[in-house]
Amino acid sequence: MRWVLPLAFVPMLALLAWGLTRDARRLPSALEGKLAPDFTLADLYDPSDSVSLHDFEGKVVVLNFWASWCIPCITEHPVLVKLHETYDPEDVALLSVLFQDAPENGQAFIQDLGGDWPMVVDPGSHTAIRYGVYGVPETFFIGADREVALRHDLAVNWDLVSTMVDSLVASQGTPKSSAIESQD
Amino acid sequence: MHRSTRNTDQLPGTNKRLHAQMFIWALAIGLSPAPITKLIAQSVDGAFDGVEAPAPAGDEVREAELDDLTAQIGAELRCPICRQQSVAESSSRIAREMQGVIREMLMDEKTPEEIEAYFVQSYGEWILLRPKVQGLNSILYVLPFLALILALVLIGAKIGFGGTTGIHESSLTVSAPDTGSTLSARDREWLDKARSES
Repeated sequence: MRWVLPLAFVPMLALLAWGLTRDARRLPSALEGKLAPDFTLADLYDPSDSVSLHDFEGKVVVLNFWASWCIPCITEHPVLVKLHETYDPEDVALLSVLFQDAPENGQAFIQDLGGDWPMVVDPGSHTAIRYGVYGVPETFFIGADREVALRHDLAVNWDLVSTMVDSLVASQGTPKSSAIESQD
Repeated sequence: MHRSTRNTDQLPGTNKRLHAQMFIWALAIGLSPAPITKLIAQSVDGAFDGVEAPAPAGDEVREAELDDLTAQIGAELRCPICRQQSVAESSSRIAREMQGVIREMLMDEKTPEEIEAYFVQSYGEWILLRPKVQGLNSILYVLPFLALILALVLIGAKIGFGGTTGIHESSLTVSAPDTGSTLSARDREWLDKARSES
């Protein structure tokens, strides 16, 4: 009977040990493997113009949430510029969503660091919340079939971006345009 | 939840017109595909024949109800940044924006269950401060009871089952202390002398 009590602590200690190996700040996305929610947001430079996810039907989409006040966003920005310059816009679309920031701050950021791909604003963070964003930068890799392949919640690097995009371009199938989930 | 009240001054027993109206409304409610609770929930204060109109936007009582419900639902959701606080408690911007989303969904007649499901779809079950009792989550609810049972079993085993107290009989036997091996020669001599004198 003496061994029963110590034995009861073994699974508890194993659970704690397993917990210590994990980064509690990093959470898996609930959207991975599911259809990306559709949205329509106003353009960063022209509020009367709007951009929707379904505008990029049949393309691989790299959806990036960012802000001008976010230091890792500055780190990853050159990678996004390279992504935009490297891949054919017919195959791969890069879309940036400004998160909890004033449009003029976002515009100043882009003026300093460059970038001429579609950028939108998300007042009230409705789209960010729909995507389960809890901080920036966060990047979603969405296949041509509209399925979210990966959510990355730190600054992206070129290895990750090129590997993901190459793999999604290679596996491009028939777009499931009719199955795009509507946000509203 | 509903705020319909009845003005009894306006219900004279012989008012045939009012009875006819009541009958028509009872029939309409009975045949309506919408649940009766929903119709009542949308009612406004006033006379009995005024239960059908929804409360106007900006109505103070309606706003207060929306605020209460928003806080109630927010209290069940985890703030994505603060983690240990609910959306209702947190003053972070994302939490306030989530409260805005909750409020808008309530105004769109979404139920609390639908709103929670919306956030679970986006953030996963992690967003719920009170995990649902299903799958692996069940362990969280069952484990404390298992631990309690285990503790009771261990305590039971320690003190012994079957009416015994667990105290060995040998420990109840009073016998002369065995001091032979611990006494010094001088003490033994003194002890022997004391015994012989007594």
